Amino acid sequence: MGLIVALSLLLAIILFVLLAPLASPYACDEIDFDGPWSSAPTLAHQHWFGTDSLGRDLFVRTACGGRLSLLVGVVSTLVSLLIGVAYGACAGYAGGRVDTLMMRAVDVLYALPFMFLVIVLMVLFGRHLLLLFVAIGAVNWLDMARVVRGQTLVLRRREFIAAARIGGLSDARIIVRHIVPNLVDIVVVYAALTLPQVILIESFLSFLGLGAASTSWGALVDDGAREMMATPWSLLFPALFLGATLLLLNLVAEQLRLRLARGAGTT
Amino acid sequence: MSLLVVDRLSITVPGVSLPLVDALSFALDAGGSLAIVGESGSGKSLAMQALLGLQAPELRVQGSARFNGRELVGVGEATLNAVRGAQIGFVFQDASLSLNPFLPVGLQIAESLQVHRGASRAAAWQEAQRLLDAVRVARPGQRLAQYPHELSGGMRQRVMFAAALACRPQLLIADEPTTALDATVQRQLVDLLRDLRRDFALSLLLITHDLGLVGELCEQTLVLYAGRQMEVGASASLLRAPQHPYTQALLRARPSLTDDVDTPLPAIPGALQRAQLDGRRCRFIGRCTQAMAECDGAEPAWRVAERSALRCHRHTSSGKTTSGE
Repeated sequence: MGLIVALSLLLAIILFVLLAPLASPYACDEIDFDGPWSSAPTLAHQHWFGTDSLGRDLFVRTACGGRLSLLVGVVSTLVSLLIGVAYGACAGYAGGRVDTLMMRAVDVLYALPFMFLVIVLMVLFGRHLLLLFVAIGAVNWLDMARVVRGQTLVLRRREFIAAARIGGLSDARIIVRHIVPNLVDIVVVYAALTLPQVILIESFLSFLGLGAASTSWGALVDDGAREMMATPWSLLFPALFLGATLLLLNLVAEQLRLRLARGAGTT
Repeated sequence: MSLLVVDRLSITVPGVSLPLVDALSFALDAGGSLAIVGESGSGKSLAMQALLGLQAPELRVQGSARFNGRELVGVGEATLNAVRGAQIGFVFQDASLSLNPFLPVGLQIAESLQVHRGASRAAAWQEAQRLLDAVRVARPGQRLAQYPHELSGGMRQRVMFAAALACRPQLLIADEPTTALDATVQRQLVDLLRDLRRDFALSLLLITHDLGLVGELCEQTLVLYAGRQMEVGASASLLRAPQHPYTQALLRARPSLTDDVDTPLPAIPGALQRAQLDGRRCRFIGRCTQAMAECDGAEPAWRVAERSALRCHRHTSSGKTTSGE
């Protein structure tokens, strides 16, 4: 029940983010020279969420920011999922010394102050969107690798893996064809947990002015926070969307996790 | 010409002096069949898994096992993979555990064909359907797309047979293939196994503790106790006139159709406890009803007697003893 409600609200946000710019006459970075600057939400010039201090329409900007935030979230989650599953499954399946070595490497990476790492990357290589994907994804795979590795250790001892080995399949094939499909449930849950985390990281970086050089919810919240005394709506709308999205994503992930735990309990 | 020659195969846990499997030796002719019997913990499954390099990585395997003249012990995974699945098929006890729950059964049968024969996906699936038909699964075309949980226990075991036989191996190793099934399905599978042996010209290595199966399916029988082979002989004579006290006790422990149901089965006293074993005396000594003084002094040597080859002081000392008849 909770899952359905959360999912439909999320869907509503996604639809808003995708379709809102089509409904409004303004574009993302377009300045409305005719309309009032720093205007409160008004129907007069179709500025439903008001305008910022440069006269840009906040309704459209909130949607545009959402597009980027969600895109970063999904792509970075996929990056971390890809690396994490591959690394974790290999380590878990290999076992023994290889496993120990690979997981100690993960421990070492954990010890790095990762936010600092991302900031250094962004400063060194510029604020490219692509780099942002890679940087966040490359840092977030550590958790995924640990979870996957733990699950693979369990799977490796299962008889059907012995059966696959006895069928003369190569290790690579066993990992790809027999281990990974069995990881789907746990990976889906973990990806759902990673998604809001990644969006939050991106927003945080943007808030610090270190995100990609383009509009995201984090950047909008940053803009809004500067002028929150004069134009509170410029903070309110992006913050509301960001907060709601994070909350809903976490709710969904939690529900999925519970369902998985319950499923594991019954079988 | 021997298909499989196992020579002094030993499996040891590093740091433990007494091996889990101790100098197991036997030969299996092409087209022949051998049953390996013994109670739980005697090392039957372990020995068979070690043949195919499946033992736990911390165990040490010594000795030799030659399949078609090719050594299997101590060789790399790539060499083993060329034999496993392609020339030797393996069926585990419980098909519900040995089929991947996330993959349709057709894929699991077709997979080894694609890997070993380089068959195309379509051809492999077609062959999988023929195989399912050969193991007498009804509506094989429909079953291919189903997942293991959608099939009954007997059907899953048939799927395992189909997968093991996909590449037409010369040898099938079946590890208690019917233990997890009920009596009627067991019956069907035994019949199936016998027919498959004929149709596929299979040699069979059967691991079991069901002595009824042995007589039906295998010409030769090897009795294993605590990792030591105790008696080897033709199934017919071994079942009728067991020489070794352990084999005799095993056979006595079978329920009989003619005995009164209230008569308790004569179980072998005690239990197999590795901690009490000692390489310097007979492994069976604590539980043997016919133990003598010599049994405590030294482990009996392997001796080829008239009816069977066995390891027992009773038979080394008095030559041709025919106890048990």
